[in-house]
Amino acid sequence: MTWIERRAFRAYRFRKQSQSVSEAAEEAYLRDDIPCGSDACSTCQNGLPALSADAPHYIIPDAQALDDYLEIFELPQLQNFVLLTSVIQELWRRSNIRKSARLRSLYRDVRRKCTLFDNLHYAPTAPLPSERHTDRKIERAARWFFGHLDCRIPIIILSGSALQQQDQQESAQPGTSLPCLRVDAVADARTPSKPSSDGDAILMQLLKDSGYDVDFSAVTHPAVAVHPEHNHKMVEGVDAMSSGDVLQGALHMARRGPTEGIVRVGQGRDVQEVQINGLKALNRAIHGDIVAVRLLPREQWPASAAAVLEEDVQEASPEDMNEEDNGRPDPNAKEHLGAMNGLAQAGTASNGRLQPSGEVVAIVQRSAQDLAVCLSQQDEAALLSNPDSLRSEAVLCVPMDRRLPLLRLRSRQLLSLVGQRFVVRVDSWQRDSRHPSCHFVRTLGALNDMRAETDALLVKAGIEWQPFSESAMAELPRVADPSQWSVPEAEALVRRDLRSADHLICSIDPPGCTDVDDALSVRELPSGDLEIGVHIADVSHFVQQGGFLDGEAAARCTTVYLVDRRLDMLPALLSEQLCSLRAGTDRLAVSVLWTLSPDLDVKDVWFGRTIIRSRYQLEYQQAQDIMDGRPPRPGHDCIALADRPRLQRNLQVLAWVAAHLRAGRLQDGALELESAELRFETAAEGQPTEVTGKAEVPMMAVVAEMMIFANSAVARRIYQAFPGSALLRRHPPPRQHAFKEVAALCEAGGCPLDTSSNAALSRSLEAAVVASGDPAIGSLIKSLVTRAMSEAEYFSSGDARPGGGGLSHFGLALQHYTHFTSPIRRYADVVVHRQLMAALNSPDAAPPMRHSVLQQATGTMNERHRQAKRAQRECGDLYLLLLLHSKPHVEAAIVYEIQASGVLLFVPKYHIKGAVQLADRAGRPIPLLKGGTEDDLNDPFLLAERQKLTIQHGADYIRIMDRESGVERDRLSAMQRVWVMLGSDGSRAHGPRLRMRILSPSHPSIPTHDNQATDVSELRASSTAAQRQASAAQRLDRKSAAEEPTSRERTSLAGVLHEFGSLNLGEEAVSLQTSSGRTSQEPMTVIFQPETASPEHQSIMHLKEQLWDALRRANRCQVRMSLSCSSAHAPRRERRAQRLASLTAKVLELQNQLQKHIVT
Amino acid sequence: MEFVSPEGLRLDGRRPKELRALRCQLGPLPQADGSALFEMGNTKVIATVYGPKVADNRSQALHDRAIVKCDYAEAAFSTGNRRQRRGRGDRKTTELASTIRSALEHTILLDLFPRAQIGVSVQVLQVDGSVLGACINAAMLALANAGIPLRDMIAATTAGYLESTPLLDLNFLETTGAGPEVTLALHPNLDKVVVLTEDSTIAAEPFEAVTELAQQGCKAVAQFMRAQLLQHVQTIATVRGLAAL
Repeated sequence: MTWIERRAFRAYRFRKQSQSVSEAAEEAYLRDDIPCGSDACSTCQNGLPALSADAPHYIIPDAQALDDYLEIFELPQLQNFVLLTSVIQELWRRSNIRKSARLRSLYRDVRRKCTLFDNLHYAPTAPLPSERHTDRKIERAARWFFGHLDCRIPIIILSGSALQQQDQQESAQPGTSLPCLRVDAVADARTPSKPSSDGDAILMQLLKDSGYDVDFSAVTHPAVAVHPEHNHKMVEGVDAMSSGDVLQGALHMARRGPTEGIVRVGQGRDVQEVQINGLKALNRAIHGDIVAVRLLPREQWPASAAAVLEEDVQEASPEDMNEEDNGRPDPNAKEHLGAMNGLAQAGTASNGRLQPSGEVVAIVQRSAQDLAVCLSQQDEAALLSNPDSLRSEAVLCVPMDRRLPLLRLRSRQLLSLVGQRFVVRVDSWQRDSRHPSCHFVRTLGALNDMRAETDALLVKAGIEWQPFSESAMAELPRVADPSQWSVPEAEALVRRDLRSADHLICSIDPPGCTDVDDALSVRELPSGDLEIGVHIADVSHFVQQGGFLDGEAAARCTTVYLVDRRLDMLPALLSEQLCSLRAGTDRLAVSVLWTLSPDLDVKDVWFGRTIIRSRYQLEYQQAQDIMDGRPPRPGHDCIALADRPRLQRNLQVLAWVAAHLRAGRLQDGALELESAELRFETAAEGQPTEVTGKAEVPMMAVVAEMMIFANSAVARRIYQAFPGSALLRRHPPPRQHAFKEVAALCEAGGCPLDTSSNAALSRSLEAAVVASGDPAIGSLIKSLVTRAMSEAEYFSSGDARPGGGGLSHFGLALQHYTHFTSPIRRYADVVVHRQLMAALNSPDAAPPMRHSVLQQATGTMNERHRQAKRAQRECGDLYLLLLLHSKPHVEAAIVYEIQASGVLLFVPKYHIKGAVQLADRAGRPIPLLKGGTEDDLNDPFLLAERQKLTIQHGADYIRIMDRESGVERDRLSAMQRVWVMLGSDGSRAHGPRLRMRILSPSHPSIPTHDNQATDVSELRASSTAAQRQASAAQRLDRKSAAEEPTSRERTSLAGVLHEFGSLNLGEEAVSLQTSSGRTSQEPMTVIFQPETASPEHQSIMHLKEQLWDALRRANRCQVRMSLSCSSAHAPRRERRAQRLASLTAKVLELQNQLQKHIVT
Repeated sequence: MEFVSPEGLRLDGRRPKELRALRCQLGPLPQADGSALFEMGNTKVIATVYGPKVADNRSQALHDRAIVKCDYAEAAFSTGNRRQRRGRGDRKTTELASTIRSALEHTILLDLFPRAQIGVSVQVLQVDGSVLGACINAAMLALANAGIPLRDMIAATTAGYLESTPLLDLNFLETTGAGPEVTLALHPNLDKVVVLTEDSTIAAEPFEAVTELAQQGCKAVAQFMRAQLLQHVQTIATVRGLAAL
């Protein structure tokens, strides 16, 4: 069948964009082969869906009614309605893409019994040209329908607008009774008391009358969002600001969601936090904006605890404490610390203090950041269901960061963005709009693609990385090959030449390191003094101040180390070749040479430019082996045999000097905090397959200490030269109130924290860690203390306030400190190099950078460092969570805080803190996992089980009990060790999120006791194990105070020591000779004969002494310690220190073993 | 906006394989040698033919056959909003003109008129999709009106692929959808494709179906044109008294 008639007409359309009416010539082809779609009709051939034959009536809604009551029409109970094409087309023109998709699904869903009828092109119902824009076409269609079905089934028109009067008259014709229902008409006729705008009630009435039984409680009308105006006059008026009425600060949103935020007003000491609650009070402000707030009257301040934003506050990391602890991160490893998402905020107890609350009055400055977003799932489905449309559509984008609101993006090419993560920038937020509008910048890649996700993290952290510009690359030395570069003659004249064989210079770095920026040397002077040298790559020679390369390096400020890649600050030619102090090649360097007396007093320090040739490029483990005298491992045996003894001696001297320096700093109050470094093994596509913690090699501490020494020497020197504009680094003392959490913990352990000065803090921290008796708890305490620390920052020395906030570094306990030793990866070091050179050139030289310029530069540097740290941390988190997602791990954890319906846990292996909710949203308790990897929380049987349980909590315990019987199912107390299943799940929009389930003690996956020994945390059982041993021994001491030690005890001890005969402690062998005295008078001699010696931590030494004391007291025997060092070549003056400093690793194992025997 | 409803109806009520209403008028401009007005739905095109005559430009004339010169223009009022006039040298204009010219060069028996020139001028009065097809059809009718011998008739139409359905004879709204647009002109009796152009991209599998549909459409258009021509000739013959009423 073909069309039978053609009608041409002019169509008028309203264009929203240009706000004008356009006309076009259109045509309609009428036909008569369109089925009516009703099963009651015998003539038409209907496909599916079809209206049922026994329906009481058929409803035909018009455009207005369909638009307003779309939710009602979507209810499955409402069936048998006819959608006319004219109605649908009208709605399409004014709907957005989501509504169009909903409309489409209305008539395409076969179950719904709703048909689409093309009244525009069906000959009997086609409107005349004059009727095209009126409601008569609906009437026509309805009339035709009625007639077509032989008047059996009444047709009801749902119309939101008034129909013309004449139609109603016509409808009164006999034989064609056509009930036409007007929504307002019903109101007037039936329920005059109800307001006519209450359309829901009317429809409900109608449907009830027709026999439908529907629940309308879920239907709501979306409210039109109208935000209050921004009032900039209030901000600009001087009176308002100065009177304190209107405050200005940066907005931080709570992690929980973008409806609560805090504005931090003021700087430094007098920071005030104003809480903003609710979308109306936020008034279109986005996280990161600088806003003007006005305090609400006191009565309106909420009394609940503030949304704590500890993670949003600039977080310190152990990297700031142990500044050069590991030099730079291992290229394959990362630093990992921090609370994961989901940390419950209610932990900080509300003191009953009222938190000042306010509302945003104006936005002073929008944060201009790029945001990583993806399309919302609803919009993606809508786009995919209509791929051929070229209309400009508006969709909602979901940002990766949960603190940001949804954004509206309008574009014609949205189809290419389905399933992708992309970058947008915020344009504006209109008053009448619920969401801000944004525009598209670029695509990052597909969702869950490793590279795209890492790029998204970089965008989130604010790091924009571009390749080096041509002009910057043009400033590099022109060499075809790095090996062709040689020291220029001009430099050879002005620099001190340290290339002679007299200086044995070598560098010690992580394995696989290509950018070597520091090297060490030791020389014994004929006068008996020691000359220690730290040589740093001379980057300032290659990077001229004010050049393009300098500009690029200053813009980047630091190298960012991510798991899969590294974003360099300098081009590879410099960072890996010409500046890097590689072995066997001449290199330019800046050196610091100290002359130390035999008692390690600093006699003289020399700074200057040098030329060096590093002899060996060692790895940490390799250096450790050499120093201990062990044979080299495979791959490490490149050292010439003739050099080995000298190298060994040098390393031992270095270790001794480093130990001495460290002891000095610890005495002044330096803090020793931990960080867990995790290394990931990745598969071919970049997916992480394995995570391992990094073992601590003592050589790392040695190198770190030397770097700290060099940094502080340089800091003193440049401060002396330029007291008003030296680039230094300071660490302000921590905020007192940040210690609340830790203080509570330590008090419970019996050792309160003293935070008055850094020495006091250091001492009390050590005591608390030792008193806790558990290395995991010690780790936890240190981790919490780290969080309480403020951030270290660069500053220009002209900033120092005489009263407070001075120059010193709290964590390292140094008066002056700066960054000097890593110019290849930090721009601050390059600036310090230039300042040092300027200071050396002439005594009253002008500083290379004025104070004002430097102040600005330090602000940038601090910001960039923060961004880099954030990116590194989040990258590590991402990889860890992805790994946990593919392979859930079972790990040990400690409960450290109890909350109303959950607990806070600490996992020592990964240094993760997280919250575990023990009740779901409906309040039903979630018991500990008894078996398997996960139980379905929505399983109806389990739900029924869980309904019977209830949660009870006290100050330091929480338990799940049976409601009726009161039998306790699970119990968790503070400081309890538990096992958790770590996994991750997460939304596609926000990335993976940590999920922890506590395992019941009977869970089959919990490792047995044997496996526990290999737990990583046990490897850290250093001082705490010793203390445990000592306290155990003391207990024994008290027990047997008056008794003579029985021979059984002595033999048991001897037996243990005898068992030790030859003990393999890792790589070190100790041979033991014991002669146990048979009588109490004869002393028992224990001879330790270590084959190698290794320096160890100072505090361990103390505890070793305590151990011996305890042993002696416990056994009433004289235990004489005699030892002989096998290193015959060690200079005499070192032997004493070495003796004192050695043995402790052996003592570790000995203590462990002894503990088992003596205590039990 | 759906291009094909679940019923199988398009935006203007046709089914996917239906052509629009075709109308033509032969010889509306008497002073030209041949002229024709062709309408496909709302697309209206008028074509005029001047020739065969001595070539205007001696250097361009070919010694053994005629040359065809083709002119394409769109009236300023042809689309909904009055838009700027496209200059004569515009890329789209020259491309369309050369397409039409090459189609006609294949159709006209050029060997019969050495050193002559046949000028075809096509003007689009109203745009509603399928413009190239209408132009070729109008040119063909104008040539027939001018009495120039042709190898065969040439008929053209457009076909597209939207919502997984091949559609015949796209109108303007369907052209602005994201789908491809294939214009095909062929000699219906010789069954030879003369012009095949394509806009946008189309996958290989639907391409076959779409061109097949276009060929059938062309044949239907050819049938219509043939009927119109016969009727026209009949009318003239009757007026001349050569044939009975």
